[in-house]
Parts: sequence; C-alpha cells; structure tokens
Amino acid sequence: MIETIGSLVQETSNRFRWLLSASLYTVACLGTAMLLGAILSVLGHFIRTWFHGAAVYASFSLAGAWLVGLLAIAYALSDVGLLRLPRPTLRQAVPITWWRWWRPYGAALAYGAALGLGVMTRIPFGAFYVLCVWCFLKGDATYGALLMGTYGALRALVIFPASWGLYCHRTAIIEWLSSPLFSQWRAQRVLAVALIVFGTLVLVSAVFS
Amino acid sequence: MISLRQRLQCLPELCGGIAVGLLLALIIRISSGVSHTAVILAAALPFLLAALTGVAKSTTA
Repeated sequence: MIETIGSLVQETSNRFRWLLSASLYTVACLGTAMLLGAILSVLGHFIRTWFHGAAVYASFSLAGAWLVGLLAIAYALSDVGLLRLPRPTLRQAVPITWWRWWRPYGAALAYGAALGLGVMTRIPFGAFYVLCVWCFLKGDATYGALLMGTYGALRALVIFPASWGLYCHRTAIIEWLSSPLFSQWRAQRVLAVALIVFGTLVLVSAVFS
Repeated sequence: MISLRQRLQCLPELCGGIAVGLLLALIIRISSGVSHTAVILAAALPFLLAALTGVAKSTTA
C-alpha cells in the first residue's frame, strides 16, 4: 500500500509540493477516519436513547460487550486463517485514475479521504471491524472520533517517512518495504494477538459485570 | 499462500493472548480500580489496536 500511495502523493519536482501533497493526504485521511468514528458512535448513541426507559436498555451494553468480545476473538482466528469470516468493503482498491485526473493536490485529498474511511480497499485485518463495532457500542462521538482518528493518523503519518524514502532512495526503500518486516502475515499475527487480548478482556469484564 | 501448519503454529500465540487478557481482567477486578496501570492499559488497548491497524494497513495491505 505505502509503495503505491507513497509514489502517488510524492511530488518529485518540488519539496514544497511534496510536503503539501503529503499534508493534504494526512488531513483528509485523519478527517474521514474521525468522521467515521463519530458517525458510528452517534448511531450507537441514538439506539441507546431509543432503548432508554425500556427493559432491554440495561442489557444493551452487556449484549454489546459480549458481541464485541466474541467478534474480536472470531476475527483474531480469521486473521490467522483458522476461520473464514466476511470482510465487507466498498471497493477492492482505490482507483489509479484519480491520480491522472486530479494530481497532485486533488488526488492526495481524494486518496486520503478514501483510505481514511477504511472500507475503500480490501481489509486483511479484522481489528478494523471490531473497532467500528466498539465505537458503535460506546455511543460517544468524541471517543469514537479519537479512536478512529488514532487509526487514521497512524495510517496517514507513515506516508511521510515512506514517500520521502521513495523520493530519495527509491530502490533501497522498495527493497526494505518488501522485506519480511513488512509481511502481511506477520502483521496479521501480531494484530490477532492484540485482538484476542482485547476480546478476552471485554468478554471477562462482561461476564463479571 | 499460508499453509495449515503455519496457521496452527499461531495457536500458542493466541492462547498467550487469551492468558494476558484474562490476567489483565483479573488484575482490574481484584484491585477494583486501585491498580491504575492495569486500568490505564485496559483503556488504552482499543487505541493501541487502532494504531497497530493503521500502521499495518499502510505498510502491508
């Protein structure tokens, strides 16, 4: 991913244009990720409000915690290939044509906005879906925006060292990014462990609440 | 393509993850919020997950 986007947002002719493109990409990615978190949380909040006063309200949080816990464990197993689970997305990849049409600044904004949403490319990490459900369950727009903002920020900020590296030492950086350190399988294993710790914690908290 | 053997080799790691989750939950429950480190760690876990997902999606997928 970074090899593709890094090349797309870099502006080889001018450092200022590179910085501006990469910054626009970052702002757009962060913005849409925060928006996604806030929207999911607001939706969750509305459902909580709708249930307010009803007998089922008390069990909403508990059922939600069970759902998130089980979902986290299931997606951890799915990430390491032990279980097959659906991974809904809107697209498989962002279109290359955006670069031809709107480069450099419009394309940087468009790629940032699309990738910040998360569902515009294939999703090999189940943690993304678990985070979305967690935002929905929390029902707090600020929390949701901060949580998905963390995802968007980290996703976008990687562009600076990577695209700068591509700009200065293209071959070396591409070789380095193709090294086992950046293997998807390795990342899936690490995320599966983090996801299962999170799932177990949420489940046990729900059991003893 | 990931082989079945490689997939099964992940099971000890996943069991370790379950053990860490249980331990964390136990510490929080026993200490009733006294152990600030465990509480902060539990609260920070979703953010850590979000950060890891963001970096992983950018650098690999």
